[in-house]
Amino acid sequence: MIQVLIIDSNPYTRTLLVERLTSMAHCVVQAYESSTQLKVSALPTAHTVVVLNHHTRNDSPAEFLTQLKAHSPQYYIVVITSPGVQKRSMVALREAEKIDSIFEKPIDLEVLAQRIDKQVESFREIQQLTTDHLNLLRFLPTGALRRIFLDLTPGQAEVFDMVVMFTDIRNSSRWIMETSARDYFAKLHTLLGEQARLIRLYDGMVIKTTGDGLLAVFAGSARCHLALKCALAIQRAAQSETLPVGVGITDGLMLAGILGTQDHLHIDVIGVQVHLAARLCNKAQAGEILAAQSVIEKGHIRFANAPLAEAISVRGFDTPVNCTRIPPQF
Amino acid sequence: MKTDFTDEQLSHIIDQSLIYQCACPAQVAKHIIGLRDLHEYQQNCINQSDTDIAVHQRIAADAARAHQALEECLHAVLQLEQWDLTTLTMPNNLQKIPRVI
Repeated sequence: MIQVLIIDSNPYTRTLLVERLTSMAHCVVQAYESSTQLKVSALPTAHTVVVLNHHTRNDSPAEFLTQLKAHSPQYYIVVITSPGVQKRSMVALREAEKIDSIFEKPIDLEVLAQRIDKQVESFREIQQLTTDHLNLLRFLPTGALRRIFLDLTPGQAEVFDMVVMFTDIRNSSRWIMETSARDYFAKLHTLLGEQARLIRLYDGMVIKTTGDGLLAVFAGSARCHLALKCALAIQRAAQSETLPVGVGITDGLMLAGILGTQDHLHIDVIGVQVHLAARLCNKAQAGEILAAQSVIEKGHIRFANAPLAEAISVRGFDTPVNCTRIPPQF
Repeated sequence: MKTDFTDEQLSHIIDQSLIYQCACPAQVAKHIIGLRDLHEYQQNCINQSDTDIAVHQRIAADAARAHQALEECLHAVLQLEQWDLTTLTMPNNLQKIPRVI
């Protein structure tokens, strides 16, 4: 709803304005006898229509209107005035962009209502676009990765030094057999939603869901530390849900870019380290984090239960990979 | 130019006639203000030839005559509608909606 403020010192004309404007859709109308009843700094800054019916015997509204526009440039300010000197002073205010529209008395109420209705519609469109924009931003990468979207060409990619983390909920096949698809989806949504919240909390970014898990990346100099802390937090959260998770983490150079067609785009990360993290995730036991040794060395985390260093054979890699198994820490 | 109503009085009459349904005196007052603007404009207009002077004088003189006629008209209309001529307040029976918010 869009707020419409009417200011008119004359009870009769105020009544006429209120009666007409309250009949408009998507509006909440409030009427005031004087601008002194309004504390400008306490007014909302959101899109608002202000209708001031200025009477010759009132004090000049110039200062009030100037304050109002300074408080929120998003206000649409309409002044109704008599012709002559009064109107000329309002024209000067309009030229100074302190007010938006002038109606000369006597007015056609329908024309005024149409103008305000049009403005209300415009404000509603802006509000909707703002909501859409904020929603779409949630699909975009955060931090340095966002620069990929400066060039929305499918196939366009950049090299980043990042930590990549895969998570996977264990025993999900048995779980889906024991429940309905709808219940499974609702539970999955809750679990992955919590994982995504934790990833964001530790400055990571979810690239995509992978069925029963997530693929996330962490950038910046503290990425290994943050990724490990995040993985531990995910394990704690999973423990409380009695649905254990396996986690695989690696660190290194990878390509982040845009895949798809001009009609459907999505961001993805590609590279050896991504493959390795996925394999480590598969090899992690329930409740375990399996991380590349370099991640542990750079992460500087003190674990309650000692991790176990191990060279692990990974499909696709010629030699065993130095890793660390981090057992549940709770 | 001789005036019976001040600019402030004319604006006050117009102020009370927000909408067209009750705006006959306001319409007259509005044209009186317009004639005053026209008269003032002619007084300040640039004269580059004798013709210019004659044109501006003619318009100013006729604006003054029209102004006087409309001021008399406004006076008569206010009396006919029984406005309070001291305060120049519109009678209640001319107001469209009596309810007060």
